[in-house]
Amino acid sequence: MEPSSIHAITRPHPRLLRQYLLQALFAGPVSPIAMLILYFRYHTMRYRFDEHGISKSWGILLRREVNLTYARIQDIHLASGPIQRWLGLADVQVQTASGSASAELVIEGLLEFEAIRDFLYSRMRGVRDEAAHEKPDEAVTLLREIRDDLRATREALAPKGTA
Amino acid sequence: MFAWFRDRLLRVLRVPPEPHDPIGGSTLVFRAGEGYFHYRIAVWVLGRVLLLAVAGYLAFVLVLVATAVAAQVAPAASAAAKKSLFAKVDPDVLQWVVVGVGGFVLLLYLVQSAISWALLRLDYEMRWYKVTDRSLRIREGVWFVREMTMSFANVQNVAIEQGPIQKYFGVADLLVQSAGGGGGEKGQNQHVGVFRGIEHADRVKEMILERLRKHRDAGLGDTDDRSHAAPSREVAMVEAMCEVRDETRALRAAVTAPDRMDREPARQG
Repeated sequence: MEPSSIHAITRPHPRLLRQYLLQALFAGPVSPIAMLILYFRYHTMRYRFDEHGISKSWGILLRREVNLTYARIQDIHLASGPIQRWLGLADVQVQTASGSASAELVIEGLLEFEAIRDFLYSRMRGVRDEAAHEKPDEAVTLLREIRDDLRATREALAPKGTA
Repeated sequence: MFAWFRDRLLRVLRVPPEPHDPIGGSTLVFRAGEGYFHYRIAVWVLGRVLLLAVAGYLAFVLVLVATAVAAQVAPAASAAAKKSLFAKVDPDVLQWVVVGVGGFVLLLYLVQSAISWALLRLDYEMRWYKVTDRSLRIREGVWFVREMTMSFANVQNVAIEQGPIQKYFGVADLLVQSAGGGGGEKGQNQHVGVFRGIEHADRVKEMILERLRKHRDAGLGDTDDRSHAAPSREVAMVEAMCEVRDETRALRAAVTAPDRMDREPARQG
């Protein structure tokens, strides 16, 4: 999957609404209220994957927005219950170094969860940096050039010296 | 039998197959040790035994209290009640009822035990630990499937935990922690990756520490800081500088060599 198609994601898949409704059924007596809350949660949910990070916003009465940069991602979890797997969905839980045990951002309701995991993974610390280091270093190349010039100069001197 | 059950369950629950390797070279895939399964079975059996013991103790106490009360309060009434209750029922029928109920309970218990065994077995089989030179990936769970990916650059520390029963079965848990707080039980805290029940925890720990050392900026810190560059880069830099120095020295030696002192001006002129 191309990164450009991930950058284009703004809305969760409609199956997320079905997942929410099924989950709300398990809430027992409060399921009508849970359904209402989750219904609005689904309809107000927006994602943005840009050059540097992700943001997700949702809510009407209690509006929330989470922003985080790819470089600050610590670990990525992929979690799914049976309902989600039946619907072909999974949660991508993104962790940063904050003081909570739960995920800072949960990317839910996307069919491309595996591609998103790989996309985030290729941009997190220790993966991206390593790739950047693999290209030859400018300073080292310069020093090698100086060395070669010096060697050429010495060799140019040597035959005349011995002649 | 178990294979049939497993295949059915995995299909119904749509459990994904083995996870993809994380990005990075020299991928190492390993699984929980056989001892881990035995350990889980042992813990489960111990739990059952403990439960039976507690239930037996409670029943024993109850019977003691009941007999004491019955003996003290109304021995005559109790005897009368017994007579009236059992008088109507044929002792043979009563015996069969008791045997039937007992057999049914025993059957339920056996079925439940078999299912528990199968689930433990499945949990043991459906676990993968993958380590590359840059990151690690842990996948576990059957009902609730969890997969975690963590890069070594973010690892803060590595710990080994081993209880007495685990020690007996030769397995240990290896905990890989990233920065960030939060309590919760082991496995609930998402900042901790747990390699459950691996056989050579020490060797895996050494391997992970070895890979951590390659990242001199492992843990918290700004990667944009150039002074935290990878060691291989620094080594290349120092090597190149040494070569330049040697070359400069050789050049000076060539220029200032005593047998060439007279010819040098001539060449330049």
